[in-house]
Amino acid sequence: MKQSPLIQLSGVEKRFDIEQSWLNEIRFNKGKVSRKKEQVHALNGVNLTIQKGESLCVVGETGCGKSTLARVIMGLNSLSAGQIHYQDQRIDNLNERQRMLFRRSMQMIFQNPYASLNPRMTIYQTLSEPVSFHNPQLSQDDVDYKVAKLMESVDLSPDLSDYYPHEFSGGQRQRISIARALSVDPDFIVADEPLAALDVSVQAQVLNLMMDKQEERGLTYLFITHDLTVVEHFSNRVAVMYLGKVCELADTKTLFKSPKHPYTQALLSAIPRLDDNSIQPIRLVGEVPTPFNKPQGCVFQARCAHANERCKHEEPKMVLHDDLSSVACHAMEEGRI
Amino acid sequence: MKYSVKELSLLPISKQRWKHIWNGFLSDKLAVLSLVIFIFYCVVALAAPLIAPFDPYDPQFMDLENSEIAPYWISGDERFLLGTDAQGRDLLSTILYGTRLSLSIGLLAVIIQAGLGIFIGLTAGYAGGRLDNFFMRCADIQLSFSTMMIAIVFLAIFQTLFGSDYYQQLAMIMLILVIGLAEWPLFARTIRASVLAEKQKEYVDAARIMGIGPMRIMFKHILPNTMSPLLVIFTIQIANAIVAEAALSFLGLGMPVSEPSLGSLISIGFSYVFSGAWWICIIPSATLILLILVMNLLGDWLRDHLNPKIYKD
Amino acid sequence: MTLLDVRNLNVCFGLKSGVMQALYDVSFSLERGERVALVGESGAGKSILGFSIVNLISKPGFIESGSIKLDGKELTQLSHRQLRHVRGKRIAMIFQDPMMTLNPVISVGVQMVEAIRSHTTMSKKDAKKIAIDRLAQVQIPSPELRFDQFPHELSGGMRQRVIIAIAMILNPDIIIADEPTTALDVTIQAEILELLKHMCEVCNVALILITHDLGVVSRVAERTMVMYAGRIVEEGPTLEIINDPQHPYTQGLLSALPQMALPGQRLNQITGSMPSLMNRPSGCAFHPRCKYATEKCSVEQPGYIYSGISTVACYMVEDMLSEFSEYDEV
Repeated sequence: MKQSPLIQLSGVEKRFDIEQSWLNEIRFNKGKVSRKKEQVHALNGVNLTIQKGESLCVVGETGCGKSTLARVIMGLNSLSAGQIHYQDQRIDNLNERQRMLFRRSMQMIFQNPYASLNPRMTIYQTLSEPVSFHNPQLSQDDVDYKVAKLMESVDLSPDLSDYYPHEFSGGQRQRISIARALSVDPDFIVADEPLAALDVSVQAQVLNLMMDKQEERGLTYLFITHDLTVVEHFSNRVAVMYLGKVCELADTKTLFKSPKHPYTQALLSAIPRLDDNSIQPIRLVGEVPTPFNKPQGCVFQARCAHANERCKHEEPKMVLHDDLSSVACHAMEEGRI
Repeated sequence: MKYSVKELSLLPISKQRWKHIWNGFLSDKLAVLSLVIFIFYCVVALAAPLIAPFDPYDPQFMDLENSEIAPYWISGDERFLLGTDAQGRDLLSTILYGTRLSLSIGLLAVIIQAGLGIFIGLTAGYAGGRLDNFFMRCADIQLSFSTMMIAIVFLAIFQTLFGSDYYQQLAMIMLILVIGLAEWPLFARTIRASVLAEKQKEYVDAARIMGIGPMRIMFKHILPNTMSPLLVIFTIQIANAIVAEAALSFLGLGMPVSEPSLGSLISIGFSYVFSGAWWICIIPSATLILLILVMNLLGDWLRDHLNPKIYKD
Repeated sequence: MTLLDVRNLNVCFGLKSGVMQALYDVSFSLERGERVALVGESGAGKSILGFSIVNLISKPGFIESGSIKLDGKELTQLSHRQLRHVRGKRIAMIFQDPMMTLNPVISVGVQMVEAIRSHTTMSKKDAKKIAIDRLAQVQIPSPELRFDQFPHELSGGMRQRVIIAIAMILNPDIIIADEPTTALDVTIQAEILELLKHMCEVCNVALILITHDLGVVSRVAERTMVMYAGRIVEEGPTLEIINDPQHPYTQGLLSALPQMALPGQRLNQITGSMPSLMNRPSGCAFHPRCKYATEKCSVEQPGYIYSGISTVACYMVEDMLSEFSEYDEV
């Protein structure tokens, strides 16, 4: 592929200060007063490229930094280190005004449809605001027309535009969120667990809608989820994250056929399957470590069955394999698995 | 959907909603009664010069011979329906004018408090960090002095600087300003707490992603969602302002004796309660208590019903 | 003898705007050591059913009619004190959020000891021994250490293990687990389910697993009941229901799962969403969303019929069966 990627993340790091007043930061150490900040390392050097028109899924457990990744890409949080490029333009160091250009091309769908719509704004207000904000030249009629079209495009009757969010069901609300994201005609949409709060039958509706829109508009998705069955169905490529690092990146088919990283293997074995219960889930030892201090060596070593001394000290690099999957694992490199 | 009653469904939805709220209001007897009483107060306060049988500010009607006449149903004196006070003023007229003064002082002072408090609270909560710390420490300092103390010091200095004649002319404006400026932290803190909670919600992120500016997010997206607690404080604070004004008047720093507000009437009348002329105190008190009660009831009702339900029913 | 027998249970909520029926004629039975799953979407009334069994529905809810028999003893007639005895000792509950059950300011061990001592006359020392035993049983490493820890010091998976230990502590007959793994990560979820299944097998405890996740069901339960709008619409052995669902709703629910479609293809979706219990459709509650719905479905509620695979409440299945039997007669 010669095409330049749509989004490129290089060495992205994000640390959060654990919120404390400055008085609590003062420490006494050997008679000296020092100021010490405790930090959470949410992202520890993530490299990722997203090609135009693909849907890349990011999978991982709670606290692996996948939501932070979404927020960082959307500019809701600043970076601690690293760079993000959108079509070869650096976007992580822009101020609000400079970012405006990119706001129209990047949008986000949120997890909780109950909190992502302003409860005091009718659907019309919610949808018309971005439309008229980004197209100030439009007349009132044009805006109305566009809002009606938007609502139709997500299978909602435009007659419902004067209702408030609380009068809709979860699935309908999530469709309104999608309509809002589409209102500025973006190329790229980040979806942060859009199905997590929905019922199974409604999940299918929303997933179908997202796939339809991708086909219609040629959208690119970054789809963040913990649900591997959705991943298998929806995505072209999968990035598996663990404690702020991508540990495996592969085509969906390749990943599900031959998972390489021990964590991916455990994750896949744990999917609840309907038909076949013969696969025993791989039991991970130990506890999910908290991302308080930057871990040494491989992030997964504490729970890995294949860990050796090298894993404890040396951080594994992403290595490209024959089937175009890249894996960060010493055991894999050394052929121990 | 909810509004499936046939007659309602013919109207456009925004009208249906008002109709719904209005119907809900009509079915709540207490709320209707409160509103009627409140409107009555407002009308009476506005039309005081027209209704009042006497002009209590006119020294002509101050006749010490008429002082401390009991209300009509006791004394049988037809001139003074509610009796007279120690200066011989008609109590009914004085109460009418006093209501007018108290209401305007209360409302205007609270509007200043709310304006200042909302602006500071919103900014502090939304911006966070140093600005937040600075404003909230200011609020702490402000709160550590009691309102009365600030008001007394401030008004006393003003009075000695400009002399009491000049002061009496400006008394009302000064009271509004002092009470208004002294109590903003209550609003600021309440709204800041709500803003901190609202700021976490995804709709704020969604608005930011749309590129909408912080001012618009603060005032158009977050502020409407923080109104419920404010409405309650608003009504309580009006009551507090009226009481504060009464207390200041009592100390001789409020409205001059020649232009008594409800509060000063009560505090003047208090000394006569045990000497038999109870009406000078009791009747204005009842008026004030009823006013405050009605406002609190209305505030509660507004909070409960003007809120498109945040989450599921 | 059946352990738990629920017959024609109707649960209502008295609201300002009238009485809302949350459960319609729910009947099922549970044998000792059996594992049953209660599947449905949010608003189906599955949690209400769980709470009703131990008579824990809070005001304004109440059991309107029906009977719940535990070992032949009627539960709906018991006094509060008798019920409390049943709740802790005979029927234990596990909730989605462990923090709902665990008191955040009391250490795990003390809570376990309390649980034992409130139902028995055991000494503190013996109770502690049992508690540590149980902690070890749910595969918590270094149970003596964990005994003195506070709930917030444990991870989500660990907390759910503690909850299971507490639920098991008095050797109950039934455990009602309400979405026990929804808040957990996939890898942890698998472990907890394994553990739950294992514990039930070892201690011969019956399990009622309330969940929305069909994948979870197939892993744990032998029998499945599907609920829709306050009614059980299909009941039968888990594997058979998953392989050959009879009720259109079960069919829809299963075919909506991503693993049922080829990657990249549209999923089968059920249009619309679960009706709120306030305005339940007439007749079969599913008919507005059902593609097989006929006139009859919107008028009358279908009765239960055994299809050969599962017990279903659906006119479509009924008609199909009667057609077959006509063939047979010919």
